[in-house]
Amino acid sequence: MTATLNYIKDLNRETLDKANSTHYMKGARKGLSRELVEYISKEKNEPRWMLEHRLKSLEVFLKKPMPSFGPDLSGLDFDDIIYYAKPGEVTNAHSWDQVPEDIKRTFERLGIPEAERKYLAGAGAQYESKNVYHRLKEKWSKVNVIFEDMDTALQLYPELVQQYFMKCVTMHDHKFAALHGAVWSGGTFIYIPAGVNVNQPLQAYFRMNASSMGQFEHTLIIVEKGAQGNYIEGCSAAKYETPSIHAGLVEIFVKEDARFRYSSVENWSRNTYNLNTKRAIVEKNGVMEWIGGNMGSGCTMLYPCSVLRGEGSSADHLGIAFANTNQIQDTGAKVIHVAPNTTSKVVMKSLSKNGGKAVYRGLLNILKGAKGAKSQIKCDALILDDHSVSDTVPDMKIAENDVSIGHEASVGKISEEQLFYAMSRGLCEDEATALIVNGFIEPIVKAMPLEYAVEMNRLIELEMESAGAVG
Amino acid sequence: MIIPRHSTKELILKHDAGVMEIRQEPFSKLRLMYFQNGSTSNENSVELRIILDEGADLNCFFGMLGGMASRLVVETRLEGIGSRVRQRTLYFGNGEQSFIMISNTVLSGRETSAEIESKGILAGSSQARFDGNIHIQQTAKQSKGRLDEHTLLLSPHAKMNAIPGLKIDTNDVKATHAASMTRVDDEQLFYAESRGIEEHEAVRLIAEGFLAGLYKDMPFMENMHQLIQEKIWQL
Repeated sequence: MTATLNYIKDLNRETLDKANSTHYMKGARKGLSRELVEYISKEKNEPRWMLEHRLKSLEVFLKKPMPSFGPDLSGLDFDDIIYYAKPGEVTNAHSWDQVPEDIKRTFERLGIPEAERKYLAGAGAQYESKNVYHRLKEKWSKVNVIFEDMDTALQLYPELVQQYFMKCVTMHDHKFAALHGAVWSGGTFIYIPAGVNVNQPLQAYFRMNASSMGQFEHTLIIVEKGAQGNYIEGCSAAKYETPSIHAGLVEIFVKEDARFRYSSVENWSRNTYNLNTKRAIVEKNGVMEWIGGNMGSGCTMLYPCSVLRGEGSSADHLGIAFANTNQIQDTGAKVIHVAPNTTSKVVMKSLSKNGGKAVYRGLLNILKGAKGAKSQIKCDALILDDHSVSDTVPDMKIAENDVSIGHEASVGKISEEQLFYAMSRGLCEDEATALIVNGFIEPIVKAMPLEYAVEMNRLIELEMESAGAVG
Repeated sequence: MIIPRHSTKELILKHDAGVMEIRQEPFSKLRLMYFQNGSTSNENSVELRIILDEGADLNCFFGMLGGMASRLVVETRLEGIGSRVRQRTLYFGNGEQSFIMISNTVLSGRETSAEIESKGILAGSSQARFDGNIHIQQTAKQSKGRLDEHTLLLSPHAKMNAIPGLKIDTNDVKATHAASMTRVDDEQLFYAESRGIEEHEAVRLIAEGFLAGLYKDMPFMENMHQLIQEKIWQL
C-alpha cells in the first residue's frame, strides 16, 4: 500500500501524458475501410457472425449522422485515425514477469501491480488494442467466474458472447456505437454465475499510447441471478499532436436479484475525444451502481444509462467531472424506468476552471406502465473563476402519474464565508480553496475504492495546480 | 411597445396577442398578465420578447387554461444593471389539451435577477412541455437565477416533459433550479378521507392547494381563482 501511495504522490500530469516507445506491428494504418474491418476480424480469428456484425456496423456507421447536440466534433478526422494496432508479440501474459519491460513500466507508473497485489482479484490492462496482462485469482475461477479479455472470451465462449454482444447497445443506437461495432478490439468480459458473490473488485486499465490512435474496447458484463460483483476501470492516454478517439462500449446485464457496481476513472489526454457509451439492463429487483470520474480528454460525451426493465429494480449514478482549459466535459446520466416500482438516484458534481466547460446532460424517461417509479436527481456545479462555464440540461419525460420525481441543481462559486472561515484557521487562500473543493466532491470520492479515491483526489489537486491555484 | 422611463404600466393580454415585442426603459415597472382561456377546440400561439433596461422591473403571469393546442414563448433579456423579472406560469390541462411552453431568460446586465416559476396540473389525456432556460452570461456579475418547475399528474394518461436548463458562463452568480413531478399523495388522501372527505373531493382540494401559492398575491386573484375552480369542477 505504501508503494501505491508513493506512486500517487509522485504522480503528475507528465507521467500520464508521456508516451512510451513501443514497437507496433507493421499492419497498423490510418483510415477506415471494409478491408481494415475484414483484416481485424481475420487477425483475431473471429467466428463468421462477428465479421458479419462488424461489416454491418460499418455500413450503419457510414449512414448515421453525427450527434445533433453537444460539443463540436468537427476536429475529428475519421481518415486520420489508426483503428487497430497491437504492441509487440505479447498477448494475455498470465504472469507479470512475462510482460515486456517497457509496457510494464507504463503500468508501474499507473500503479497497477501494487494495486493488484493488495486488493484486486485480477487486473486486465489494455495497452492499445490488445490485452497484455490479465489474471484472475484461482478462488474465483473455481466458482466459474469468468474474467477474460474480450478477444479471448470470444474464442473460448463464443455462444455466451454471441448471446449478449451488442444486445444492450445496438449498432443502430448512434454513430459511435456503430463505429465501435465495426472496429472494436480488446476490452473485458466478465461472467458471474448465479448466486456467486465476488466480493473483491475486478479491475482493468486501458491506455492509448500511439498518436491518432483509436481505442475501442468492449466491456461485456453478465451478472446472473442473485450474483454480485464490482468492476473498476481506469483509462489514460499519452499526449500527441494529433487527436485520438476513444469510443468504448460497456454493456452490463444485471439479472434478477443481482447487484453490480461499475466504477471508472477516465483521464485520457487532452486531445482525446472521449465518446464512450455505457449502458446496463437491470432485471427484477436488480441493483446497478455507476460511479464515474471524468478528468481528462479534450471533449467528453458520456452518459451512463440504466434501463430498469424488471419490477423493483434500481439504479444509482454518482459522478464527478472536472473541466479545465479547453476541455468540454459533457456528461450526465440516463435512466429509463420501464417496469413498476423502479427507483433511481442520480448525484452529479462538476467543477469548471480556466475557461473549461462542464455540462450535465440528463434524461429521465418514465414510460407508461412504470407505476410507483421514484427518481431523485441532484446536480451541483462549482465554477472556480469568472470565465468558466457550466450548463445543466436535464430532460424529464413522464408518461405515468403514479410517480415521484424530484430534481435539484445549483450552480455557483466557492462561498466567501467558507473561504473566510478556512483562512481564519490559518490556511492560505489556495489551500482553503482546495479544501472546499475536496469537500464538494467528497460524497462521490467516498464511494470509490481506496486507491482510486486517493488517485482521484490527487488528479483533482493536479488540475487545481496546473493553473497555479494550489501552492 | 415601449414602457417609458420611470413609468408603471399594467398590461392584460388575450390569446390573440400574437407576437409582441416590449422594451422596458430604465426604472420602468410592468405588470403583465396573459390568460389563455379560449375554447378547448382552438389552437393558439403567443410569443413575447421583452428587453429590460437598467433598474426595470417585470412581473408577469401566464395562465394557460383553455385551448386545444397552445403555445407560449417568452423571451426575456435582462440587459440593464439591476433589472429583474419574476415570471409565473400556471397550466391546467384536461381531456386532450396540450401546452408547449418555452421560456428563455438571458441575463447579461450586472446584478440582475430572474425568478422563473411554473406549476401545472395535468388530467385526462392532456400533455405539456415546459422548456425553461436561464442563461447567465459572463457580464452578468452578481446576478441571481432561479428556475422552478412543478407538475401534479392526476391521470395515468397525462404526459409531461420538463426541461429545466441552466447555462452559466461565470462564477460570481447564484443559480438554482428545482423540478418535481408528483401525483396526489396517498397519505394526503388518507388524511382527507379520515376526516370524512370523499376521495374525489379530496383530489379537488389538493389540486386547488397545489396551485394557490402561485397566484395568491396577484391583484386579479379572484378571477384566476374562479377560472381554476371551473377547471377543478370538471375533474
